[in-house]
Amino acid sequence: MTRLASFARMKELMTGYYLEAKTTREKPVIWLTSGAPVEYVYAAGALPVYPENYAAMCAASHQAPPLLEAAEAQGYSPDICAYARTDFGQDLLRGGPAGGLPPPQALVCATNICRTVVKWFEAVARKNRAPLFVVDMPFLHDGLTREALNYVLGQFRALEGFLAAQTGSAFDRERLLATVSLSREATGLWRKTLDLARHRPSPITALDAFVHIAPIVTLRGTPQCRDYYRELHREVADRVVRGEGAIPRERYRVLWDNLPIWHRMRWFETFFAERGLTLAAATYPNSWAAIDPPPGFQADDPLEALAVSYLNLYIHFGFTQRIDYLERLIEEFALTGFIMHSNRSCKPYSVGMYGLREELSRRTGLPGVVIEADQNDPRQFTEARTVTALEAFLEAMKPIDG
Amino acid sequence: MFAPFHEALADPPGRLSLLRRRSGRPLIGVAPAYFPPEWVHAAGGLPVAFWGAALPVARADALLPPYCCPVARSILEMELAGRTAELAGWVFTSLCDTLVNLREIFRRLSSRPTLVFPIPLATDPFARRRRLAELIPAAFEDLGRLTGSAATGASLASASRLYGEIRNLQRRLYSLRRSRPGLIGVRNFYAALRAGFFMEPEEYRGRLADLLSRLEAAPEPPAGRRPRLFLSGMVVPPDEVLGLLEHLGLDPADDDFANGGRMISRPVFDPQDPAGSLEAAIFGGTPCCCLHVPGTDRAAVFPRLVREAGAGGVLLLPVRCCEPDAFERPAIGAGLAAAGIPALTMEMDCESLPLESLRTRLEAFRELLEESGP
Repeated sequence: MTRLASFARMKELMTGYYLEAKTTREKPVIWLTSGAPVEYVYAAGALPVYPENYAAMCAASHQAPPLLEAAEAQGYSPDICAYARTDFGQDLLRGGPAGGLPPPQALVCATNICRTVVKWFEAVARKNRAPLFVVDMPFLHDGLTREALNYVLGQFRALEGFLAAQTGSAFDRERLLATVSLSREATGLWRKTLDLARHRPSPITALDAFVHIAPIVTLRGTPQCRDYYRELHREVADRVVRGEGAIPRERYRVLWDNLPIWHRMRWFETFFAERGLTLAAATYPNSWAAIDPPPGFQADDPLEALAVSYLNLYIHFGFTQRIDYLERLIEEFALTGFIMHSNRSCKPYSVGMYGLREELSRRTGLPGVVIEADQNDPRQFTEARTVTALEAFLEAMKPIDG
Repeated sequence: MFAPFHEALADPPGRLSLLRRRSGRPLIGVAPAYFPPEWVHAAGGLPVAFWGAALPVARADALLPPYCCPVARSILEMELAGRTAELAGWVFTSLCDTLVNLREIFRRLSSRPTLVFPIPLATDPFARRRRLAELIPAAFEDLGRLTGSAATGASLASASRLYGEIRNLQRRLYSLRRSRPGLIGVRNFYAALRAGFFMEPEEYRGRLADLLSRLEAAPEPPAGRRPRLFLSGMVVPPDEVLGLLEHLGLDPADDDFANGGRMISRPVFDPQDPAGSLEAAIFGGTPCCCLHVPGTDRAAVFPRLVREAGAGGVLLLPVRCCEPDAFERPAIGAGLAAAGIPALTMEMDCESLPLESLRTRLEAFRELLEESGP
């Protein structure tokens, strides 16, 4: 990626986090999905562990293939999410950069990213004989509703009791509010950092954002997370002041939709940089950047605001809202085209994408391309096919000031 | 005896046209699964349930990637090919990620209204129950928009009675299959079951009652050792596969298909206890891979279901790319192995069925079951 100095700090932070996760004796380890309300877990004094984050690390460090194969040898179909298969594999082989994850004492999953996580976490809960708490977040076919919000808030209250049972001590509401406040600061800073990509040339690309996403996923609600994003924001803002772009000569400014292809990050970086293409915006990192809630849902109450932020996610939107959002990003970031990753592992993101591509092109007059791959499984990536699709896309795209 | 049931399934577009003319009711397509059909009937519509079809997918390729299940792909194919043109609207549930997005695709295809019923998955039982109670009036309001008329207390009571009677008849059919092996052919059995998705309920009730009377009075089938199977999967497999089982003398004793055993094990909606009975109608009965039911582990329950059915082996028939089912398969397989129950897995891809290879594997499995004996 473009070498942001903060990368070293992030590495240090994440190493410390995984070290604690692997060695803690005092804190109960709770496995979480990336869209679950981690603030409750930190407030309960437990340690959250994210198999999604770990799976991505395995793929980015090219350690996923043997883990995928180990899971498949156990009978898990290649049709299921590759994050889940990577996780099952790390458990079998104690593999990946941290030598495997600590087993969960309990699990919390939320359906705002997909319903697949329920099945995945059920399997882990069964294996470890650990209790599972599902926070159900209704899909927003027609936008956020008061009923959906109240439903989620009710489950948040029940989650307090679940966590208290795991830690053996009463749930501390004051501590929760302090954690939520730290979390909001961090997500605010993350959003401000991503928004700096509106500048031309863009000081940061989505590929940077994918890498620097790790703390906002795993550590939001901690002071270290807030401090890290202060530092990152400062560094990226300095680039803006200096007029420094993330790549040497920015000719195209493009949106990336869906998760990254973790096992091909370096390849994409080179391919795009050589052609002057900056991924100036992406939907995935915005999942932790508090998308503006609809009118009537700007809550003063911090827990209600928290529930709104967990419900109001791009992949949790109906298609009308999704396409409006994509169009807005294209306009606000002055983009010249868009790339959609049809990701075999992520159906909520990918099912319906072909139609969205056409509609978005029609609305914006910009070219868009769908590339077929998988976030974690390199066997689903065909380099020649991807190059052909991207080259055709570049040919159809008008460069900035072109 | 079974001809009217096979006839109902033979030509879906023609059938829909006939049903609309005969019933005078707006036809409402119901996608999988667990939406109470009696609600549609109470609101003046005629529910027609679609569980996918064995057909080549061409048009739907433009909208759905190949890694979607053939159930979703074939339903969309039928819609795009105009084979469901007679429908006045569609009902979806949030059964899986693909179906959640499929509803969004349908909404953008035409101006025909769609309704979605979000099945709550909350662990917290109070939250789940409260949510269901909230969703019921909203669903009826949406149904009224689809059918053009509102359900009343009386229409709901009457529809629940009617569908309750059908459910009881279907249970009798299952019970008969279990207690009298060889009495009902495999294809005939599933035709009698699935025809209910494409018939007026009053007619279906009558025909099913008549069929049961005749079957119950029929002489015992010739004695003979036929391996008894428990069939498992999301949906009843295509007719060709059922025909293979029949041809090879493999005799299903029971199943847990979502449009079979899982469906008939659930109670119908009771207007006297809306939230409670809806909860039972969705989460009660034989466990479903698409639902989260705290305290219930489908893998642990499975061997018991097989033993209760008196089956000597299990045929797992997962639909290709059905993620919820695929997640549970290793645990189910391990549970069956631990219980000493032989099992064979054959993935079902309705878009292309390798019948010869399936036959070879089934023959080998039959031999294994015959050797292991009862």
